[in-house]
Amino acid sequence: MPASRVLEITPIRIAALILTLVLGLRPALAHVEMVHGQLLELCERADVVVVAKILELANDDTATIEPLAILSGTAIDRTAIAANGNLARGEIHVLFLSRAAALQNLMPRGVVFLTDTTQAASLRRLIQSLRHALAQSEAARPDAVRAALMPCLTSPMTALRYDCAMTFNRLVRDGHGPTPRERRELDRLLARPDADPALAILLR
Amino acid sequence: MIHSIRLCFVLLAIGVFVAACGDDGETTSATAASPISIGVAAIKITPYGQNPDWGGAVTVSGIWGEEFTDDNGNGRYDRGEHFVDDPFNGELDHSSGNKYNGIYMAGFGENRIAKGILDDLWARALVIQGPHKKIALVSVDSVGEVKRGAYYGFAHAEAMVDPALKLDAILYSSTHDHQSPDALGLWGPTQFDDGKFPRYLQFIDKMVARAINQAGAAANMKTVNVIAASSNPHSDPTLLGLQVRTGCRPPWFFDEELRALQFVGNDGATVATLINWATHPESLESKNEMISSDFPHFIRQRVEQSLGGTAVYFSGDLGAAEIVGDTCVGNADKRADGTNEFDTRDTVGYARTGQIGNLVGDAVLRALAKGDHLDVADVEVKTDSYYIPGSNDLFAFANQIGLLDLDMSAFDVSHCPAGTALCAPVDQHLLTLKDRAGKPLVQLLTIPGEIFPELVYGISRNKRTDCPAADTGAAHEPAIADAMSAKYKLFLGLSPDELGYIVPGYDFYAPPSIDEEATDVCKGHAYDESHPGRTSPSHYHESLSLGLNVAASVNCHSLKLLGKDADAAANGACQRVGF
Repeated sequence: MPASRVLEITPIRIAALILTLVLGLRPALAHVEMVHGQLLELCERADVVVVAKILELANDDTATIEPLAILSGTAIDRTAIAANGNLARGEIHVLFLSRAAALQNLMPRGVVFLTDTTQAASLRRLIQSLRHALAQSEAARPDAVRAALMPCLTSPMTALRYDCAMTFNRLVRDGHGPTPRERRELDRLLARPDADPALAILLR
Repeated sequence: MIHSIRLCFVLLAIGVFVAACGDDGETTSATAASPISIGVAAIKITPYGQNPDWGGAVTVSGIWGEEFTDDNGNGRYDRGEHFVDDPFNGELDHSSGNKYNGIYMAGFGENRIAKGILDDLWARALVIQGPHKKIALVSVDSVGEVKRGAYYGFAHAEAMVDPALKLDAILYSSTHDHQSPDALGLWGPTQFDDGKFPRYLQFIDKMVARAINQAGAAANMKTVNVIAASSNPHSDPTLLGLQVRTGCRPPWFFDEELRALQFVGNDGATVATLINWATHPESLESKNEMISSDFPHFIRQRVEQSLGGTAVYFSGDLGAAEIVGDTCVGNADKRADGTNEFDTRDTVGYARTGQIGNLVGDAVLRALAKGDHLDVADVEVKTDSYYIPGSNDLFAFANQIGLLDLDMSAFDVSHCPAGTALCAPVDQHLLTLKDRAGKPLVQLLTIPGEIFPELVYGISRNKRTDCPAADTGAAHEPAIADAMSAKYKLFLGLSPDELGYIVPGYDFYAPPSIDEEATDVCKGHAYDESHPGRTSPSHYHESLSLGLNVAASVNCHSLKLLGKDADAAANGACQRVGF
């Protein structure tokens, strides 16, 4: 790579640097980090949610992405983002992006929602219903979020499904249990012969 | 003439007998040949560079792993980069087929791929033989092997141990090294992807077996005398301020004792030194991307350079006991000079790790220089096998999605109450070195996980006192150390399994779910006026514990091994688990 390319200061490189600095200031990671449902926080923080193909990854942790479907926020074109170490060239991801300095991937390390273009419509419904639910009054919000998560419990996207289940379960533990109708739906879901047994553990 | 010769033999025999007896008629070690022999071996298991026993690929960095094209030139595999699949991994674990298999490092988040090495990892075995028993002790630089994995683990190593060695027991242990490869499957490329490298784990099994076979081979066994020693921060202030509790979790209590057994041959040369300390080996922390055995490397090196022979390091009762600078930063005890240069994140790195290891190594040497020369006449081993019903949903989930790869025929739920998700088979051993009167001189007990030290030394005397309201009311588990009569009490943690943290019941708060740590009413409260930064954290350890009843099961079975069945039977915690 020519020296001029290396030294070129672009908004995306500044964003990557800021992200690196911010992450570097986080407290030490636990020896064994706990898994957590991330979806709600990501929905709250993201300016843009897209299904995108990762075209290139540079060694300064920037990625060039090709948006395939906009799930929420304003449209973006092919662009570079701060990758945050989670992306893989050639893969298609659901990406939650912030426009803080330039576009940056908000997904925490280890959290990856792999997908394909066939999921775009259902993902758009999920993200939009979650964002709608999050905009509700404080009193109405938990039930609305829980209802929005229900379809996600059968998502073919494994990591997203588990994330939704953990988030769903957190709401239940916080006193916002399922409605009778949702309970019946859950029972049916877990009793299906092809039910994911791991899901039953997450929803216990 | 014949009579004269016979008389000479009789006189000679009497002379030898008299010479071999002290004033009290007991045979002294100075003249009697020791009936104890030792063999030791150290086999490298570093996943790096050329090794004739490694059948897999080596990446450009020298780290073992499937070959890949480093498109972005960052020296490690990144998802999406082209790699050459080694079908052998998929044969061992079908979920490893067509995915990248390499060295994901253990702990501190996912996707921490090794880029090189700082020092070697080892499987070290020590075989001790007495007049009646022959026992192997194995220490592996690993975050935690399990005994009964589906395609890996110590049981697989054991199947390769030479039966001609006629071993009565093999005591396996992991040092809990967080700078070694992921042996549990928890730290792969993403949070739901297995981080184990099947071919490498099988390599470890082979090297563990080789270490045992080499150590126990007749030609390698040497008659030895035994020197035992212990030290602590009170007797050796260089050990002050090296241990902290995870997140400052109360009580501020540790197993502070550093213990060592030195095995010296008839020629005066040290054959082996066994070292036992109870602190998480994770001085290199989360940003390190180089394989290392952490501070045990420097402890072993220091001891070997000074004494000769082979040093074997065992982690002991290290539950919630971490190396200074890990967590609870800024709140460690002061060292002898009134400060603590290690109580900061600023100096985390290999130099600091070396300093700590050398300090501890020197403390071992000082203790052994004043050690007790033991008159060991016999070696005994006892074994207890049982099952613990696990109640941890995170473990059940990780097993369900294929991260753990346990041998489910061994983790047979029919041995546990109905509804148990994970029924863990447990082996515990008690190794005892005895004198001629049968009195225990050294007792070495194995513990199948990371036990809190207050469970070893007694809850009543060492429990947290900051928050009576947080006491769950669960009966106290019986103290293990109180039931041990030997002067030298050693504990082998993570032996033979890493079953997670072993937490006392009075302070056990079950996690509400797999993604949440429990809290108690005193969360955030400062509990030590002289260290206002020490506040009570959430209950992290319970999220990584098999369950409430692990402590009671382990402690009560420990008492059984120690011949204190009646004490165990009378204990409320033992009764709770149906002991």
